[in-house]
Amino acid sequence: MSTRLSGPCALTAVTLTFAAGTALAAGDERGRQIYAEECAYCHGDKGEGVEDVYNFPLEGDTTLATLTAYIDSSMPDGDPEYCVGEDAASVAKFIFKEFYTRPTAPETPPAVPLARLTVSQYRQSLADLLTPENAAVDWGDTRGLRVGYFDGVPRGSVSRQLTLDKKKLLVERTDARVDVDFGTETPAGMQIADEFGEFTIVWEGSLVAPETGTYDLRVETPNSFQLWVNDAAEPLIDAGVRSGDQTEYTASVEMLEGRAHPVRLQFFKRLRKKKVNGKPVLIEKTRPASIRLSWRPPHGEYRPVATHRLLPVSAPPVYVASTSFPPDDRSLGYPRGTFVSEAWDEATTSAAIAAAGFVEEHLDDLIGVAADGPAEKRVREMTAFATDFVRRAFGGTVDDATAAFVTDRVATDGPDGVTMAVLYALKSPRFLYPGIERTPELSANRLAAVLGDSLPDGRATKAAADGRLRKPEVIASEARRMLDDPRTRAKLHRFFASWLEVERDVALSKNEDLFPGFDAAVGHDLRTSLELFLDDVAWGPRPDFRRLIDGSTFYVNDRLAEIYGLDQTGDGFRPVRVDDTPSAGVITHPLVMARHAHERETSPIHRGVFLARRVMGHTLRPPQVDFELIDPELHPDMTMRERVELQTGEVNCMVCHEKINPLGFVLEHFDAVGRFRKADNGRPVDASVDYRTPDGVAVRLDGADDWAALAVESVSVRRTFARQLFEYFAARPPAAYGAATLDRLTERFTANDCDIRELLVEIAVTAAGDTEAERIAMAAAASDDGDPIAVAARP
Amino acid sequence: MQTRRDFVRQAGLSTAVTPFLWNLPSLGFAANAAGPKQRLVVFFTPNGTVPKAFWPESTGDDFTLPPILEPLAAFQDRMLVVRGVNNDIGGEGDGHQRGIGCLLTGDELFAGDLLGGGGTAAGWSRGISIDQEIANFLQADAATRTRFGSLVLGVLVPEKANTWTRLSYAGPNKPLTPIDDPYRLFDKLYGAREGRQKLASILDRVHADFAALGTKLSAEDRRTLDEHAEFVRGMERSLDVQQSEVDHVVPELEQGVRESFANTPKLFRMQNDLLAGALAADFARVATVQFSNSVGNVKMQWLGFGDSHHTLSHKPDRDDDAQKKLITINRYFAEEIARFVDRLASTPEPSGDGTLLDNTTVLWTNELGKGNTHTHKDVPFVLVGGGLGFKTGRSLDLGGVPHNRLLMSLAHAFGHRVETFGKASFCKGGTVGELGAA
Repeated sequence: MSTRLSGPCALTAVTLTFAAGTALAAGDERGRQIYAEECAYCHGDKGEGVEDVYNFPLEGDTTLATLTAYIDSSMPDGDPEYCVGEDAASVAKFIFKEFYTRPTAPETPPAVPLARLTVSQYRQSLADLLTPENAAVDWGDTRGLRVGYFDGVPRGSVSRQLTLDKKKLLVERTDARVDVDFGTETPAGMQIADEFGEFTIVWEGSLVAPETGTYDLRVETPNSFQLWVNDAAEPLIDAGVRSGDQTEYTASVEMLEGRAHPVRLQFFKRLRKKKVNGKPVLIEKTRPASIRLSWRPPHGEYRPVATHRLLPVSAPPVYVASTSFPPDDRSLGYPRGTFVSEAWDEATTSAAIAAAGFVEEHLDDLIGVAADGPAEKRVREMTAFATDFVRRAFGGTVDDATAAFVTDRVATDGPDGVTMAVLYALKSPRFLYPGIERTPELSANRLAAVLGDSLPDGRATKAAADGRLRKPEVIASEARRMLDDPRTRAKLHRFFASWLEVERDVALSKNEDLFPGFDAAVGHDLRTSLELFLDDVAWGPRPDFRRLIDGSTFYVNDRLAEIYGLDQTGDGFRPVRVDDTPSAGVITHPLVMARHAHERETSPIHRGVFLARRVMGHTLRPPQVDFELIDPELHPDMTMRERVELQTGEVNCMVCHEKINPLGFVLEHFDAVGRFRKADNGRPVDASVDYRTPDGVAVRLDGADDWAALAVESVSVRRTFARQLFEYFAARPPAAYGAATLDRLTERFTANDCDIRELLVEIAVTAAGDTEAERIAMAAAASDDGDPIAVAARP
Repeated sequence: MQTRRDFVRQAGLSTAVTPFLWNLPSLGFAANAAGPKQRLVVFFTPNGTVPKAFWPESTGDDFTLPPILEPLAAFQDRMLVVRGVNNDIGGEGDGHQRGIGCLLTGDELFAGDLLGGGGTAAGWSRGISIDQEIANFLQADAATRTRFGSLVLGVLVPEKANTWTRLSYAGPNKPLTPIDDPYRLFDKLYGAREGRQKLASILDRVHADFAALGTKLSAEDRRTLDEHAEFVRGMERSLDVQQSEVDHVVPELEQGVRESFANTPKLFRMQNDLLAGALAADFARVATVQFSNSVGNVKMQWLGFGDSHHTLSHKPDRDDDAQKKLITINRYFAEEIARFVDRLASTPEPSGDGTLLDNTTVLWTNELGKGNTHTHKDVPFVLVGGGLGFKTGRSLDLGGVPHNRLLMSLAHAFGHRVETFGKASFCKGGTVGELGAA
């Protein structure tokens, strides 16, 4: 450990700030004058920026020295010789003091534009509206599928889920995967009484989808089988009859992120026979028996369904809208529903019609009265269902006129009236813009939307409607309950992927000659490995954020073990500790390292920008020119570090690269696929850097261990994480809830031992309340009404 | 939970970009462009016929209809009774399996693990069925393309996917599941249109919501909402346009008819009525209607007795009671087909040129020549209507030609000049000249 957080370097930082703060009055005046004459035209009178000329405010965490050097060499734009030396120094001082280092708290709270449901919220809400019982199922702690082995096979072929004779049950257990191969033998340890040695296996449980989209399921077997997914009525693949040489079967099914989709697989080892005098006689002496279930997720390759995606619990089916939506705006780094397009509106129409069709088709089950049941009861139950559907879609409350409309439609049009009510609810802005009306259930709705992109369950809705969901501690306890919901976990997964810039649609491609064996499958394994570690930390007994960036645990299977030089054990994914080489938790996870690297080489710049923005909390402007990395062939003897230093050494570049480069170089021990290396281009890796934190502390770091030791102590790192977590879950900045919100959350985060789950609770509690703008608007409205209490409450 | 959505998807509903195509049955297809339409509807009824009550005694254009064919008397001059066609495809499977599985495919069954009442255990057919072959041919040409191409329908088909329950094949090992629920068929044909009408009926309320909510928002947020409301109005206008362009008569279905033996006659008629409507609307030019399945054991109480059909079909010829009942059953099939044919004969072509029957050939067939022998000789083939241009009003006895040649003739009649169909060794001699194709 060679991190030095105090000493001469830190002192230098203080001195600089001090010097800036007490600049000579005369120099100040000179700087002000130069700024007004030469800079304000583009940067605004107070450094706020000028639209379409220079859009960014002049603020950041660059040092005065760098700023001075930059102005000296580059400003004004197009005539850098105009302002140099003393002039440059004094205008730099002026800028630095007047606005560059000002606290970023704006005078007015940021406006929070009206937002429709995000795509994820739309899909999850629709699933909650149509199949609420799916989310209520308890997953339990066991993973894998329930399996039962039965003696013999049923006669004939029936395309439905069989109830098999318990007396024929040979073995019952939980399987980690569906992948068995018995050859021509009997399953080990089982006594088959059947005269032909035939047997049946039934796997049951649920598939948990890691993301929303189309999954291709594949079954490989030389035998017969039937597979159901998310629909107990119609098999997804019906191969109850074996035919010819076909041994591979595929079919597609839509699945929803973080949801359990019931699955059932019936397998039959049946031998070929012929009838001789009315009696079946074998015409094949032996037949191998094997079956393997794989899937291809939306951004993946075929692979066995991992154990942690399998539940032994058969969840009720979940409604999955198959409509494709245009993607949400992500320009601020998190999905927001602030943009309404015609394509989006069309998608909601298609989805509403499909949902109405679902209701029509399953009406009898949904209302609990058969088509030929008592007519009066049927009308009553249809009205109740339709009213409840509209009520839940509208955030928990329907007004009398809407309720009357629904009742009237059902009374007039019967089942058609129900589908009309569904269509109306799903096309109304009261559903599409959650919270547009202040219903009593608002806080419950916000909690569910923030934590799981979903609708609240009955309990939360009731608590809100009864007025119990007001006090922060009550909201917090409700939020803690929702935290256990798989949808929250799924959303957190998505956040982590966004934070670490390893979203699923990002494909890793590495040079095959340099990194043999690093293929798509390895990429998927790495993702699984990362997710297992994240789950470990986030949902384990000690959800300490610092473990994320300091841990040395790496989940591997044998394929990864081989590539990353670890022992192969023949087991599935297992955690190993990598203590003999430097590591910084998820930051040095091979997926993150490989993602921030080129095909053949590392990329200190990508890594540095990623760490600076996403982790350390530096402000970086986008580069003004696109650069090509210097061709390595021009400098065949240089290390990557040397080439980057050569290319970014100019003072123009150093405004940002003095932050970027050290953060990139400190990770140079990790090659383009994230393997530890000691040498680059035949020379020892130099991962020692001088670095200045966003808080202005200068330190010397040597390698990832040092960086991690610095990061776990850094308030800025925590603040940066808290801000991003807030933005991702609440889809708006923390400042919308008051300028001090982020500071408060960061302090609480520190006080709570950096507990990620508690931070999420605090975020949810904050976002379950009103924004500053909403409070101001309400106070204004109340003041118009002459309500003195509301006026007094106005901030 | 995907069945319904599959339909919706087929109807062009769930893609965000094509709401304007909802259920525009033939819009976008140049369906009415060239020449007269040609259609083929295959009716399959199971378990063999009663030959003595089915085949006319004489051949040629002067023949008397035996009892089973009597219900079709009104169409005798538009009828072609074709005796002497054999399904000689051998190989895997029992008589029934090969009967149905090779009937429209002309090909053998794969070896499999489904053991029947005799022979070896079989799988699915090795080939595509002729209805799908013709439908693919028609769909490949914009001039003959229709919304669905083909409809594969059934009546009371058991919920078992096996060789006995599948007649149509999209290809080797690709059996097609017949739609036997009239409500699902209705959804497939008209669901999107219904949805659209319902959607139009609630848009006033949606607009009222937009208006009411807008007043409570800031100017900027109101702009967002106004913009959104404008998209909804655009969609509404397009609904109006579509509404006026589609004027097909949508059949009314009796509600709540469940699948049961007792409801079978109703279900059969509902399917046939929907099919007639679909042909009139030019949703498809090829269809199969499969009554129950090979070895089907429907108990037809509505005919006055409760015996299972397949069980009856195994009774010996000397069992007069069984023979009588089997004749009654097959007469019933003929009556329903006659009713369907009559419907076609009384529906004018939308182009105004003749009737649907003028351009449709209804083919009635069976997987066996006779139930109690499981013979594939003299498989029943009765063709009614003018769709394929055969010379009708005749009774033929071809004396034992492989049925592949008849299947080829069907394709050729559509202009699809296949050189073989199914197992090539059974295609020698090509199409059946005696049909008198134009």
